[in-house]
Amino acid sequence: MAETHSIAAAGLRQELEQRFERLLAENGPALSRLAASYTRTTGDRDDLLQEIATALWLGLPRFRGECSERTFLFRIAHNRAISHLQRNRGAAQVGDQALEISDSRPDPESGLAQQQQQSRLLAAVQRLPVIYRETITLMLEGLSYSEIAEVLGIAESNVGARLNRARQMLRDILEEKK
Amino acid sequence: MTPDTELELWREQWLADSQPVVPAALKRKVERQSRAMRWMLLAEVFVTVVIGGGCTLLALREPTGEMIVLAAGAWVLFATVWTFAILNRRGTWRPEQATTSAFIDLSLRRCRRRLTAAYFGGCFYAVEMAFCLTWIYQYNSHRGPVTLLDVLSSASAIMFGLITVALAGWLIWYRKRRLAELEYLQELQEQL
Repeated sequence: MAETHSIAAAGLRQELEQRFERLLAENGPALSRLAASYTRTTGDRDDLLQEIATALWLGLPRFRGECSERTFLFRIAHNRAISHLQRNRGAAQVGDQALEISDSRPDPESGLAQQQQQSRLLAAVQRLPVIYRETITLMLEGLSYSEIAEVLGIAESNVGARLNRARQMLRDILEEKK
Repeated sequence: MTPDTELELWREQWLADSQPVVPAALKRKVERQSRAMRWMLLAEVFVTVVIGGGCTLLALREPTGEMIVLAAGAWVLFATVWTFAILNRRGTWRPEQATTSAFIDLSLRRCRRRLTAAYFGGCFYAVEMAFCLTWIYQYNSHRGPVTLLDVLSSASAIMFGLITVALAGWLIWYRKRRLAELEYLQELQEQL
């Protein structure tokens, strides 16, 4: 009886590990982008990614399929990012400085426009207030209004309102930087 | 631009490869410098072991005052050089981020540190020569009457003189080259 129980537990754990690894592999770039929008340096971003992975590992056994895995993952990532921001409030407040540190500048030798545009957009997103930043990053990652609402725990109508405001602010920042 | 095309454009930019690209030439240059730094470090260890070990062995085999002074002096000089080398190389081993600006910052830092190392090298050489020539003078004077002219016209003094001239020429050339590199890197940084 005890042996059957331990075999079942080992099977469950193996299944959990596979799910965990698959989720991270499938969403690694998205998580990295999300983490980058809440942090200033590569080191900070890696720390946040590590925190997200740990929180996912701890939270995965409690996941009962009440939403999609992607929504679940983004909810965890978002919660960890907010905690990270709160812990590093001092660093997070120097958004304008971060803009100068991040690579929002043209490439000197090969002029890689794509990299430049991406860095410029990331720098602009980093300057948004958190409630707009979280909404726009999820939208840019391709989540639907209902998924964003689930991740953030707000009504869908609120998502629309926040997104409109976030887009306006983002437009203004990008214009200002031209 | 309609709001939807705008959003699509942002999404396209957002989802583009998130690894920042560093120009290949700059990356190669920094990697080449890193390799050279590692070789230089190995060479420094080798010189320390050979010369420091050699002086220590001489002092052990022939524990006279002169040999003990030579070994102690060599290790004091090595300690000075190593302290400087470790401090001067701090923060120059790798870029802080994988971005173009971080690579240029690192190149600038390395260039400035190399200049500092060259100035230090020049001063250190003078101190080292003073120690060596004084030691040779003392060593020879214990074996018979020696004039300063004898010391200055000895084979080792002539060799030191030639090395000094060569080193001075090299330092001037090296400084000029580093200053030109520094100017280029600063221009590059301003363009960013």
